[in-house]
Amino acid sequence: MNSFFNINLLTEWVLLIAVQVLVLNGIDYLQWGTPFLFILFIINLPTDMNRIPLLVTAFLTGLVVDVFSSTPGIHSTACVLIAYLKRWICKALGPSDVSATVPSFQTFGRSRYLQYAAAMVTIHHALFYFLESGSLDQAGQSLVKILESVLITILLIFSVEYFKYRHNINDK
Amino acid sequence: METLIRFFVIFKTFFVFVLLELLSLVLYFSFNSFQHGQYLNASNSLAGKLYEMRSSITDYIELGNTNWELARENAMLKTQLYASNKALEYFREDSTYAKRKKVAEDNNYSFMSARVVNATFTKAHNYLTLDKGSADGVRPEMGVVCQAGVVGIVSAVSEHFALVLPVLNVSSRISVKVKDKSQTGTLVWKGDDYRYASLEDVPSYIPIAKGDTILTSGYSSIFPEGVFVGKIVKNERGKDQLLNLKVSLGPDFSKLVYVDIIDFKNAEEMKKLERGIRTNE
Repeated sequence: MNSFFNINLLTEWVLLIAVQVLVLNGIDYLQWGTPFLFILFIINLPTDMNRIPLLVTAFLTGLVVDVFSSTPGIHSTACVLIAYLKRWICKALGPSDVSATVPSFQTFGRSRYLQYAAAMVTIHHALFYFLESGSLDQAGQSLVKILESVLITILLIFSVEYFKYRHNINDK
Repeated sequence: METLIRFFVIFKTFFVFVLLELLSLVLYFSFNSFQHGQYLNASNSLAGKLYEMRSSITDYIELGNTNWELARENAMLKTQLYASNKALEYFREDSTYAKRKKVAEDNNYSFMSARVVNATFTKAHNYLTLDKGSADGVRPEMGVVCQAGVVGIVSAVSEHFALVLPVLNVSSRISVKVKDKSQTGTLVWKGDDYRYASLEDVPSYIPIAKGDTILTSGYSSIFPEGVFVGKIVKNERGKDQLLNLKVSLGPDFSKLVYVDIIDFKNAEEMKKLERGIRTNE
């Protein structure tokens, strides 16, 4: 269990949250939705990770981002939900033969990984924007924001994962 | 009893899930009453410091615009200085001048300049973080304006930072009036376009034209009377015969850098008096 909390994972956590808080939260400026790349951390946690630590990790991750974006409880609600659903989404969209693995292009295959990530991102963003707007009055507008944010987040996830993939291939 | 424990053990993940979601939702629903969540918003000092660092970098991007605005303000101030010098000459021999000067000195409002270190404007509940806090004398419920008009109201402060509830927040309500018509109303924001807000609580028989200027009413202790808010750009009558008044806001919230916090010296006294009336009723 302790092997999950290694230095690499901690660095990734700090890095993703820093990028989220310092750079991506400012993408507001273009009147697009905001990409929430930090949930890549939850997406990429090992599939066989014990689910209670997974839920707690997701909650704390969401809470930290919440504190920095003045959206208390909103990210943590959405993060805990995707962490809870992660196992079933993995089962439905991930590879059938892999039981314990860290999700990536190499382990899942590019198309399966993207489908899995897209499902997680969509659920997170939908719940986030629903709670953020606080009502269904502006449902149409929220829908546009969700769509835009989902697209940008997936694009960013693809870029990061593709970079990691190339990096790994070159190492071998 | 054993069955119950077994039940909990089998569904323990689910219980942890429900517990964490409940915790999140409690945070979410208690945030609007700010004092509870002091440390869980961007006005806490760690987040404030971080945003200050970021804005010390990103401010350079806006430097061109800021310069231009300062130059324009300079020009405007020079014009005013010239005009007031002229007036001064005129009043020098006037005995009522001394009286007028006294009135100006009695003015209860003072301004404090602050920098915006973090801002959002595309959400439904937007907030600004300013780099002035309780150590600089900022208190909740102080008004915030910029050169172009009303920005919002301070809602929480830490030692060195303040969180502002701007006009661009669906829970913001600001008492305003229509210039030259002495008609008051409430400025609200529907959560859509950051350039426009709506004017509500105006009786439908009041003639309001496109281009009418909206100013603060001065009915609260937050803003002095007559601060520019925006201009009416649409005055269509809806199906329900209610006027739909769209106000184009003065400040460009996507480019706010420097703002002024208004300190109304007698705010406490005024509030106390009003509270007294309410309890007597």
